[in-house]
Amino acid sequence: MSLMIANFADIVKKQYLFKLKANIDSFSSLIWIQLLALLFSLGGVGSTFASSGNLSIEVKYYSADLVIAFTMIWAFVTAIIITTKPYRNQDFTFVANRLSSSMANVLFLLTASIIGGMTAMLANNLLKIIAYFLFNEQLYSFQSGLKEFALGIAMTILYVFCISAFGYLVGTLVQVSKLFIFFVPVLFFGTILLTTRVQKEPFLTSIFKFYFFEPSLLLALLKIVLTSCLFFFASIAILNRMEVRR
Amino acid sequence: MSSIIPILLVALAIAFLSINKRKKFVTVKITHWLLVIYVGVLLFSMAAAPFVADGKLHARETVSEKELSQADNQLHQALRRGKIEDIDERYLVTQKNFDNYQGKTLEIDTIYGDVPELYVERKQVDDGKIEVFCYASELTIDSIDFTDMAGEPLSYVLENNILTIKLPKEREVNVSIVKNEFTINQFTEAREKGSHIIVNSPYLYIRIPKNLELIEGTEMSAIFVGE
Repeated sequence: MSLMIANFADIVKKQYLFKLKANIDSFSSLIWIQLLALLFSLGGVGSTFASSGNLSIEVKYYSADLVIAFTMIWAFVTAIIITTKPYRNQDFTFVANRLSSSMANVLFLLTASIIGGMTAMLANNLLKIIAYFLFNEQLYSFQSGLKEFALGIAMTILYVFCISAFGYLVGTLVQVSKLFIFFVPVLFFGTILLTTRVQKEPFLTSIFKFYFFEPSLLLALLKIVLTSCLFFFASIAILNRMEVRR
Repeated sequence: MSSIIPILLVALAIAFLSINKRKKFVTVKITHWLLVIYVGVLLFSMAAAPFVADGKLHARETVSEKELSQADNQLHQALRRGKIEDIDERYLVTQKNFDNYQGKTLEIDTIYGDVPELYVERKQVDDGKIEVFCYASELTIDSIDFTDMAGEPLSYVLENNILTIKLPKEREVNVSIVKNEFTINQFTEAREKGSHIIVNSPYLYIRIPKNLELIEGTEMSAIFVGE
């Protein structure tokens, strides 16, 4: 019998540091996925064409939008992976409970989101350099000052974190019942197909607009933070009800 | 300023790593190296990017749609009143003179898709000189002035008493614009702005000798100044 009194914060901290070391390879996949997104972005993330008289005008737009989108997918997958059995079994090498394990996971996902969000936003500059030197493109930048750049980094981190929270919930549901492996994609594609048949705006489009079309910074922050908390609380509640070593 | 930040970040990272090296916080793996190299490249790009793109943008003038519309109105009014001396020289794209014109009549026609607005001024003298001025034809992309890349909008051929307005050779303008990410645009004015390409149609202003009879071609309609 141990005479040491276990402190919850210390346990979470130990588990978090362990998870950071154990899951370091997930950052390799982040780099590759961002490089892949950069490769896809080299042709431009959008273009406009116009003609008038003898003049044909083609405008190509560059931005790190695709890199951010790919980072979101990475965060979603990483969050699912850390809920799988081999990863959860690692927790039993510590004096821990379900709650401390989940808290360490949340902290790990937050760290991953910070690294993912920052590198995704910085990738824009790499895109500029590649386009300039490789394709000899004449670039005109619409980017503004540090304040907006900081806003971009903060919002990207939060969006990536929110997506990872959703991934964590999906992963947790799958651990409860394998039926969710089929149920989640069916729900995803089902809403698209169903709303297309009844000629309504797809449910996913409404969700997308709810978050990404919110012009107020405060409201957007509230929506993202509350949604992330909701997903994590739901996941923790579900995991707490699970039997030991299931 | 934005170039200093990456240098500071690199210095901080080196300081952090050197402290942790002593504590043996981590066993260095390939992933660590990958991360360090990748972040290093990103920070280097951040420092170098302003010299690549922003410098060129600063050389270009930005004009709002309101300013463009006002300038077009002023130009239109000046042409209508025949006060071309009052027009800013930058709006004059080309001027071509046909000296020693002997014909009694002049037909103006076009083989141009969009018919340009044509203003005709009858001079007080019979000097046998036809002067053709082409104005405007501004090109702006997302509020940046690219008029210099648009080239000449029209060309003219005077044969058998017919002045034919033609289109010069096809011209391509390719522009690459780096824009902010959607996570920034969501909260800025850029949200409402889509991509805007504005090409103003050119105006033609022709000065003809006093007694020259002008015949309008099938597509053309001339506005006589001061009559």
